[in-house]
Amino acid sequence: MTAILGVSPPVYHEVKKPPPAIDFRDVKLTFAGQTDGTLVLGGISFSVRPGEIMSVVGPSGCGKTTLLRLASGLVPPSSGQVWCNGRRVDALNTEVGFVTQDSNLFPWLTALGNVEFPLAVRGVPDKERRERAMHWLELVGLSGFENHYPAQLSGGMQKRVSIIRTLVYEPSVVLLDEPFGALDAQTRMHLHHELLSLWQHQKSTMLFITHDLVEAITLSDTVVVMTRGPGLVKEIYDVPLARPRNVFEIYLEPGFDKAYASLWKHFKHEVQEVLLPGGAL
Amino acid sequence: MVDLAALDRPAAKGRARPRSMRRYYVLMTQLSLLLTLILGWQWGVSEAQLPYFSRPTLVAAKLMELISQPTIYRHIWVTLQEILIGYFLGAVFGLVLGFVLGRSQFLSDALQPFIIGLYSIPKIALAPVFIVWLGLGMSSKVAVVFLASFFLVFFNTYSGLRAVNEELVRLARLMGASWPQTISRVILPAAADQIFLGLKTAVPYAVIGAVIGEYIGSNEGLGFFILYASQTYDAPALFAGIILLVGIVFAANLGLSHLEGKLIRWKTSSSQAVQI
Ligand SMILES: Nc1ncnc2c1ncn2[C@@H]1O[C@H](COP(=O)(O)OP(=O)(O)OP(=O)(O)O)[C@@H](O)[C@H]1O
Ligand SMILES: [Mg+2]
Repeated sequence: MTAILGVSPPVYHEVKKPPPAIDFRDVKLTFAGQTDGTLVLGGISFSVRPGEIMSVVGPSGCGKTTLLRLASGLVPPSSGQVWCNGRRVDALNTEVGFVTQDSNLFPWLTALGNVEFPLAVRGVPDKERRERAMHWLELVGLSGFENHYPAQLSGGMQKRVSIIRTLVYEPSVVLLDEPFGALDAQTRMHLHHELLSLWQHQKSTMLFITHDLVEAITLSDTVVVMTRGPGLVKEIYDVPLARPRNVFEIYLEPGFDKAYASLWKHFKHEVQEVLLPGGAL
Repeated sequence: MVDLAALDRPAAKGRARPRSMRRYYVLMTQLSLLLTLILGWQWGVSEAQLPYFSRPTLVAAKLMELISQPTIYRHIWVTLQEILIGYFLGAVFGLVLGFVLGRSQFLSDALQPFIIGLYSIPKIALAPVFIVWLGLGMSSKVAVVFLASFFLVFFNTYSGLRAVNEELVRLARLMGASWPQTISRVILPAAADQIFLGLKTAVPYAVIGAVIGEYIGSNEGLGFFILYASQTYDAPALFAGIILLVGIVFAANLGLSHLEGKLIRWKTSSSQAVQI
């Protein structure tokens, strides 16, 4: 039966390797209502190793957000499968934490209340919950702002709250959808630094969406380059930079130039396709 | 990190003083308008018009006389009871039905024509029907109050639930919230503004419902008192009765606003932040 479906049973080697944190197996997707049957994703296969930071870069509209929605079980694939930690994703996948493109904070809760939310619904006792949330707020430089409501925070501060609201409950896989997209360069660098040091001592898996090559190189172990219309994996690239990395002078890290050049080679084509025809910008 | 935090601190602090000054001016303007109205009423009414328009001093004297006697309290209590029972029932049913239809696309589609049909009937106009069905006693007025407040609470709850940001609901679910937790911690707070708007708008309608019901047929209550005063050309009593009614609406709204302020603390802060 499994053979007919084209899914081979798991093969166990002597050393049992942990299953991939996220595994896309020939995932295709057409949105309902698109009668012409245009594929948004045209057969995506790649996997995220446990504990790594993987970036997905690709032009706008190529289906990056859609990938994360598939991984979290918010959208089912039209064909193919998504696996998470050895289990097939066929319903809401609460093993992942999702940092959305917009901050999406709960406007009726303070910064502290927002960070405490996932702990509260998990029944973490009041005192511990408060301590953990305050700890994370402090880590991202927001102590003193815990009683501010989202509307009283700047965009960058909201972003930080939204990121730690997900990290605080330590989901085994963190999905981040262009979390730093709308921020200024300085805040961004600070947050890169914070994210990497958080990751360094938490070692969760991160699947990170961006369309900034430098950001992808700075943060990740592996970069996936996607093409658009329909979304396909064009290249999977291992970033050769050592860790820990100095995010403030990432240009000076040995290997950066080479990494950038080889990624740009693949990415250039995609960007030109978008920019040249209409000449829009 | 310190400089970063200082950089993006919102510049809200500097506004605190001008805001409170502005509120002071607004309050002063409102008070002087009220005073002008009262003085205009006092001196604008000629002797010939006196039987119809009365005067603030006469009305005040009448009010004093009324509240020193027990009769008026019975009228107030009857009307209050009609309002409280009808409003409470209307609010509960409105909240529940608004919530159910707000979350269920199917029920919402199925019941829509009936609700729109009922909505287009002016509820107050049904008061005579209820008098016929339920008699001259309190229950017919309770029914009118119920219907008037039910629809306002229902529609506002319904549209509040429809406007909930589903992304937040999904995120809460992903973060591990159960459905009951999602309802109490995300959906209800997200719709709370609109729900309270409904609860507050329904108050004057509840009062109108009770009073109209009493005008149409009753032998007690503030509406009856006002009607009786008008039939006996007792203008001071007429206005005194109306002032008592206004007082009830005012107190109810104050109470609800207070409750709202306790339950929705983020609203004032966000409406502060929105101003440009
Ligand atoms: N709910 C939906 N129904 C129909 N089409 C959709 C839906 N969501 C996304 N799409 C389409 O799928 C494609 C991919 O969208 P997606 O949001 O994944 O892009 P993206 O790579 O995240 O882009 P960006 O970088 O701009 O955020 C787009 O062409 C979009 O129009
Ligand atoms: Mg996107």
